[in-house]
Amino acid sequence: MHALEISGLTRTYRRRGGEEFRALRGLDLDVPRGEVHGLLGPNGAGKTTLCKIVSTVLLPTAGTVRVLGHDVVTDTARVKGRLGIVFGGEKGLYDRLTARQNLTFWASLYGLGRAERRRRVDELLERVGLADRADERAGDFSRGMKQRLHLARGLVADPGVLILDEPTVGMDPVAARDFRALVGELRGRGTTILMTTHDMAEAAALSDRVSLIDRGTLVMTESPAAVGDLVSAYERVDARGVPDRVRETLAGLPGVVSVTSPEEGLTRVETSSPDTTLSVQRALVEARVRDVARSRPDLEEVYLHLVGERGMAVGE
Amino acid sequence: MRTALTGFALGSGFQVRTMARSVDTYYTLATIPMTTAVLLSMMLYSGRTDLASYAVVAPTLMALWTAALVFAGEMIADDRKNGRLELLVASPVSPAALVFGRLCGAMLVSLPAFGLAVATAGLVFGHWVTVHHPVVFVLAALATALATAATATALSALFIAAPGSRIVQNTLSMPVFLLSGVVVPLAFLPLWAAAPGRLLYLSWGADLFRDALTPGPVEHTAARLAAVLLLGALALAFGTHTMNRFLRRARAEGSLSRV
Repeated sequence: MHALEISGLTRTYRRRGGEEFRALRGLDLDVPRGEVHGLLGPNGAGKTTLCKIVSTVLLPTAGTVRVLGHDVVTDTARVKGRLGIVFGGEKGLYDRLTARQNLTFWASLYGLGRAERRRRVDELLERVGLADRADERAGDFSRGMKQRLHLARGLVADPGVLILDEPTVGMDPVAARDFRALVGELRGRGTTILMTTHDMAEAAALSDRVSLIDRGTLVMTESPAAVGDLVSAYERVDARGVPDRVRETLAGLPGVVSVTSPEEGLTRVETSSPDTTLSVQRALVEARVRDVARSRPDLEEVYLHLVGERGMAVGE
Repeated sequence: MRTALTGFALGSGFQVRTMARSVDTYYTLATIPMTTAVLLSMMLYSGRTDLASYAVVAPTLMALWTAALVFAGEMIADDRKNGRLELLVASPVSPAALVFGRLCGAMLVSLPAFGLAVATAGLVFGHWVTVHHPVVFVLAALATALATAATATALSALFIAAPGSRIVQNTLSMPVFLLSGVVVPLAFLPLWAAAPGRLLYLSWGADLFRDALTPGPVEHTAARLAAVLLLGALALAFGTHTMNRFLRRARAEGSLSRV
């Protein structure tokens, strides 16, 4: 049994005027227990809609979602006790309560007894670096501190499945680094994490597998490394000081996808296969070009290639 | 059942803690001396000193109802605006029990209104009210506070379904005060107005409050308390059912986070 089993998930919203908008279109996704699963996609791709359905706060129009074997529509009560949720941003806290009171309140909502609650709240405050500010009002916290408290809130019941929707938006670099370390710890303890993010580096660093989602459909699900392998078509060679005639030669080689100049003096050749890359390198060496580097596309480039020119534009 | 009890206990404790440190909480209480002074002036200067205790009971019940109505609307609107409503709905606790618990907490903070009304009557008008039946008084206060919180739970369900319906807060007070005999007892009203008033828990609560302040014996105390609690229980059952239905509709429409 997987931690998350999503099958044929469709969600339609009705806009003003009766027009329908399909945020998710028959999406299928299984997330094994203990996996950190990154969900990437442009704004409006359906990531947050998916998170909300898994979190039981939104009903699907069609399809099923099971969390640790329990259906989010028909067995909602069992799902709720097993889920931790961190929606992005700094909202979701009681500003008039202290950090400790906020966590204690949410721990009580999840049924933790007095002793366990106290231990858990202290442990989490320490873990997110707020132990020294535990008795200050959350409303006086900076955005980054609120997000840390928000994260602690999501972990308060020690959930089997954790939903993180854009968890590091607005976090300072130190907090973001700590967050990554925390996700590593949770993975070590067997927590299943579904995390949406715009940060490709973050997804690549933290995720066991990454799903690319666009316009409500799943483009692909692979490990970050495998995603790079699958698009080796976009392997590239960067070189400096390439004469114009050599650039023309390179552009004419079979398997060369493009020859561009991303910055002055730099020539970037994108190739469709490792063999073509070798041919390009050979041609450059023969032309006595010394400054040559071969590189693989990072996750962001892969993502942009797969989603297409629309890139980060808001989905229709 | 366990989630309902947890929700109730948690909600009431939480509300007392948050309200005690909020200035907004005391706005309703701050109006009590003024309301008492106005009502008591009308009674005393029209020669009806026998009705003076009515002018002390009325502001107390008005404070309870106003606080419940305001908090029923504000808590849902505030949770929705601050991104907490979705998180609360996603938690294992019964939302209706949590809201009912929070409203009971709001009632606890509002009950000192009676002390303020008594103090105003005594210090400003020299009319000191005596509680002749303290047990009846305490039971009436508790039963009425519970029933008020239960009725407001039903109203808060409406605020989940329709965020714009908070205008109800501004229009519901006076008709309820009139129909429930809070200011003018139902016995003084024509039958067509008094009959529907008997369906409101507040009319039974107001009569008990007033009887507790008069020297004569209080009749049918248990039955009248039961009427207050029964009407409150019916409102709570209706509120719980309605809230669950409205929450399901909001989850279907995706309007839980819509402000």
